[in-house]
Amino acid sequence: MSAGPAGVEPLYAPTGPGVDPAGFGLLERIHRRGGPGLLDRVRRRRELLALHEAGLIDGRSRLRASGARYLDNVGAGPAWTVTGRYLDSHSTLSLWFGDGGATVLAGPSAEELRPGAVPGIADDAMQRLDLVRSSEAPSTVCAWAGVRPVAPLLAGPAALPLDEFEARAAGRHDGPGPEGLGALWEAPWFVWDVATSDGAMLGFINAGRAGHCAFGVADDGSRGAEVRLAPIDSGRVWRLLAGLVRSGSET
Amino acid sequence: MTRIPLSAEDLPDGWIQLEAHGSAFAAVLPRPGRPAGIVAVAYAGSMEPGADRLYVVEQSWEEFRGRPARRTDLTRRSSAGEPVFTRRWEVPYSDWMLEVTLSCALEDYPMLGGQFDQFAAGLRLAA
Repeated sequence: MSAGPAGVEPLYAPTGPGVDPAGFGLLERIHRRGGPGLLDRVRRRRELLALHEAGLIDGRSRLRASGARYLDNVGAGPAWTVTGRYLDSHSTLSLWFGDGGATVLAGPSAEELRPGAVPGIADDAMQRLDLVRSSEAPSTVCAWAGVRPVAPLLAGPAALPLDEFEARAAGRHDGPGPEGLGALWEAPWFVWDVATSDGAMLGFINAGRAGHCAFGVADDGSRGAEVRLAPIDSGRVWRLLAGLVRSGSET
Repeated sequence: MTRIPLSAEDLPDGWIQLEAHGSAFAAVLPRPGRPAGIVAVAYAGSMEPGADRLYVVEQSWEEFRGRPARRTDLTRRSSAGEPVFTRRWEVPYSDWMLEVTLSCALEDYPMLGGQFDQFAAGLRLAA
């Protein structure tokens, strides 16, 4: 794993093998069916070779125990999808919760995705597998999203039109931001959200030294959709995610 | 040798002080399989232990029984590979640092976090 921005080590370093998105889809099929389909053996030769080299399948394209331990949680219980973006670069972190543990499939982290941090890194070009305990999911997600303890610079709740928010998140903005956003508007934004398989959604902005915000979208019909922002500290982000783990384990 | 300004009277119900030599105070909440522990040490200089999967959840300066202290909540894996939650206060004195660390299994944090707060609120630090 490469160093992040300004020599800061990335907070999250998965320990499992790397797979590309197509390769992971193939691995799931192998897990479900006991092996690749007839066409997969011909058309997906490159992916099968990569999975074999990663130690996830054997020479006959059957799942090895070292691969099965990542797949056993997939589809077994609740799942989270965490998506994040810096400008036009996107990444995803998926978690599947099983019996006490969770499988993680991590695209580039916030610190790796940040423009210029890791030269040549492409969106979701390579994802890494990892295994964590369910109780570690909040720390895993926060570390992936680059959430560090920083005092929020946003003084209080704020709102801006959805179109303006999307333009700012994509870097298609110019001029000063809406009143009250101040340093937050000028900071780099890693916009990320967590969606759980039971329908919960949380949205956040990691604005680096300008701190963190939680956001939600409201549409009361009269003014059009707007994004409502509230400053939040790193501990509160972590505790919200811990609450999702607990509520997921109770359903 | 620096005397740790803590005593068994500071502990929440159910916690037991352990014998600790030197500049240390230790206590445990005996629970089958997943004990929780409190360790306080006094030292000069700095002490930043490495840890597997260390993640700093929160860090702030706050008052610790009337003294300024840096509070850090972190998660990590123990040397046995078990996820651990740790709350640590670093209380600077003139030429030494009092460090009070409370740890428990990460999955027990929702249950024990309140006791950690109770412990901190009930401490009586010597001047």
